[in-house]
Amino acid sequence: MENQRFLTIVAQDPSVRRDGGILTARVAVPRENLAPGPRGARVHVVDYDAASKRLYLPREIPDASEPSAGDRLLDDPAFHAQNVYAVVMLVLAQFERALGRRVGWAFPSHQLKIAPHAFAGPNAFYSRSHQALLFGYLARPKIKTVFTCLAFDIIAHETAHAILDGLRSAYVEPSGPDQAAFHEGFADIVSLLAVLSLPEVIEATLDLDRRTRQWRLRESKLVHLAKELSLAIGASQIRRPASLKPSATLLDQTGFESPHRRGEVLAAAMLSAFLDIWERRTSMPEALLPAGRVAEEGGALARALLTLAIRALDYLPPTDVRFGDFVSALATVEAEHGWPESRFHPGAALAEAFARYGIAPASKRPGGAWPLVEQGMDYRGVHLESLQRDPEEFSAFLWANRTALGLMPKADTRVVSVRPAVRLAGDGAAVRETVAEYRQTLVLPASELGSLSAGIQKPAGMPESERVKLTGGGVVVLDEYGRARYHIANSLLDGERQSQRLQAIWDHRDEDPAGRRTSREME
Amino acid sequence: MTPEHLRVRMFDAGFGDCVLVTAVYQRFARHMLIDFGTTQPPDAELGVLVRMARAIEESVRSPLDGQLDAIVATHRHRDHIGGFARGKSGQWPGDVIAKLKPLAVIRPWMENATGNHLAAEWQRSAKAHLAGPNGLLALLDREARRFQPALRRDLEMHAARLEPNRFALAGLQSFGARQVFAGQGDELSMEERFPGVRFEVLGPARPGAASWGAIETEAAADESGVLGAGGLFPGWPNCPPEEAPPEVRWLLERLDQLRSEQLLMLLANINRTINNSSVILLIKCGKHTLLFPGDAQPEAWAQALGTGAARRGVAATTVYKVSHHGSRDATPPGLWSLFKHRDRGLANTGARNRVRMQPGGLTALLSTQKGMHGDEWRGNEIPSRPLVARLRGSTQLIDTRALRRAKRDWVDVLLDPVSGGVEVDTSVAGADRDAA
Repeated sequence: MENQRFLTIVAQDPSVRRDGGILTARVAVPRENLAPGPRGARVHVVDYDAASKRLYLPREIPDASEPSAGDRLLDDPAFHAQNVYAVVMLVLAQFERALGRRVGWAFPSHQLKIAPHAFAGPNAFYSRSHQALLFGYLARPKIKTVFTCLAFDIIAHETAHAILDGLRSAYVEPSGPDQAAFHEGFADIVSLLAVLSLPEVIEATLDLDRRTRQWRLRESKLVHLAKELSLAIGASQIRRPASLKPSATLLDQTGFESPHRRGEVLAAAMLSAFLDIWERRTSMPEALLPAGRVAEEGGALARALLTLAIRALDYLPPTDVRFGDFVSALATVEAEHGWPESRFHPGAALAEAFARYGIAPASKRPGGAWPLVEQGMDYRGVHLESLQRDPEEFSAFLWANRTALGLMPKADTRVVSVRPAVRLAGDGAAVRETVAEYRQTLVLPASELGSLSAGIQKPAGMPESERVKLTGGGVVVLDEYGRARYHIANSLLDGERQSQRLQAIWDHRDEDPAGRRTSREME
Repeated sequence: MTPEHLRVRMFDAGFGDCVLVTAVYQRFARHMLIDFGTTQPPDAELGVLVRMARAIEESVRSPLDGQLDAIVATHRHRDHIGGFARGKSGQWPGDVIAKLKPLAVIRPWMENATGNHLAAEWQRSAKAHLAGPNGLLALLDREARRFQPALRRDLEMHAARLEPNRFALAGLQSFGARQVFAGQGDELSMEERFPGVRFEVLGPARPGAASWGAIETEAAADESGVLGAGGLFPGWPNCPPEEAPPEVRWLLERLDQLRSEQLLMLLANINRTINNSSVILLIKCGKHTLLFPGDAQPEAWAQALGTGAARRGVAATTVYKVSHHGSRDATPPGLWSLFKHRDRGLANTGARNRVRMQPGGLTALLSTQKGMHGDEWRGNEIPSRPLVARLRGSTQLIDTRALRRAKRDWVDVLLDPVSGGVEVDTSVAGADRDAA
């Protein structure tokens, strides 16, 4: 197809092999007029290795020639550059398709820089201050060099961090334990579902249990995270959310305060829903579905779930996000948009999976979806056309309805974004909705918290003179007629939630003294 | 028998530690030297250490002529043990210490590799990461010019503390003293030398008891040797950063900077692990409990305070040698909240530079120097401003920076084991407000 470009990528990571070679896949990414790098409109691959101080010069256009095959891929930096480019573009395209709009980065540039061999070290991260995804490598005597830029799940994970930061830039700020964990958990969800969206990869890794004559879906090589890397650094265990035993009290257990571990619980719940539905649809008594069919089902289901998870982002509060908000957002998307592939009829599978891991929807409505905005908003003096795109107009709407929307008038209110969200409705017609995001902040000494009459408690042990920063905000989703349909907010007037947030930040004030430097870097 | 009093003499060691604890009995006095090292410019260090050694000697000889009954070398960093090095001339600081005939040398269990493969592994990995042409120190040496000035200063401090302490370690072996390799749960049997005083060891944790912090085995330390001159992809067209096209130079500079920070972090991690090997010693005498933790970091504290008995022991602390020169997290909230004597007995001021604190307070000994480590912007400055403020508000704080200002070599804290009373010289008590 003219608007697509097919590129070869490493299917999972070089540890997943078939027929004696590394398992690869051909994927379609949006075609664009590329410069060497590859450098396109959205990303720019810069292959600089700071450890040896070398800039590897890019090959011309990546798909002009077929890359080397088999294990020789490992020694070909141009292929590495092409691999990261393709995976990042694949994930970006999935986000843009699901949201029905372009997504931007959290920094003032249109090109995300990607350094496939940025540093020596078994690690990779997204850094807003570098405007980049930085991939490390592990070179040691007697073992094959491990490149994180060849691991599909690691690339997808870091890409998800970058995109999420562009959509919800306040999620990297200090908050309760869920917020940093959400960044990690969501990035895991994207990386797992993105690789499972490739049916040919599923098919190549399907494993038949000869005793029960059933496919061993739960043991799939694709539900591990960063396997090759974990093996190489001798990590005590490979991150494998699928093996996390469900428990309603998991999040309260020690060890689950750390963002990666806590985030894994969110990913485990999502993965468990995926496996439940996949199994239900592919296991038949007395019969074995052909591998191709099982893989097709898995791929379509993963794409559907990923679309759902991405769309849910538009229904999340802009600050202090909690896992329960995500469950409510998913329920809202299910209710509003329906499933991208209606044949799955998942029923309550998602909500049940989250409940098994002790994650309940934040909304108390039956089904867990967010409540609709009550009628009676004031639209006088506000114009539809500019309300759908202009932050100033939206700010006027917020001011007129500040009481109904529960805003704190004393605080500084800033409309962060007004974005379109386009999708196809059930009848096939295009629907254009609008998602607007605003934030409220108020800085004051702890001694004045009481004067706000919001019931916000000063954290135990905090001196009266300590300056505290209250942050809150909301998302308003306008329907196609420009009327407020959903308002999903953390109000500054919510004393309980604000108190919990302040206490969490205060309790962890002594941790990670370098935090100020690294808070925008997500591994 | 109980000592009439304990004299805790803190010497000005610059960025380093040196404390002499003396139990004064009716007819004799017994001495324990806890650490003896400093970090100074190389040309000044020997002179400073010799002067300190003479001061230690003088302190052991008076008021009652004694010998050094015990040395505690909390961990192998130079700013804690550098003073034990001996030289051929017989004029080195370790030679002065040798003349005091130390009877016992107490060190962390990791320092005894004989028959202990975990300790051997610990030492081997420390050495492998640091020494040799591909070790971290050589790598840093080659790359130092790429570091920005603030980072380079940090780097030099970290590297200085790690410089091979062969001479100091050999010195500790050479005194002919009984070598004691201590770990969590030990009680040092010194009743014979120090009647009425008990010495309990809270850390470092023993292997098996808990994870004991193996040295970080990150790859960066030796990757330059692995890759060789060809880099990652020998033969692939490349260019040095100076010849890079202008549109990518900004990113290249940032990546170079990141590389420097990563190397520094690696070095800091190794230093941290060595800090966590510190002997954490609790000295109990009558109504007084003295806590000497070396440079223990939060990880070591978490293990040391794992038992109720340890927590009860620490709760009774009346004299706390502030861990790790007052770094922000080496006195973690979990430790601070245990101290039941803080915020007490502070209201009393006495006449003319002598003060008797009312029994029941907490005295903090802070041996530090500003501007050597970290910076305020990153919140990792040593000593940490918030910690010093907390110490100043809740304890009787004795800070070596004030000693320096008063041009004094040491300060004494006298402890009465019966009444629990504390006597300090206020001319040097309290933090150096200008410096802080």
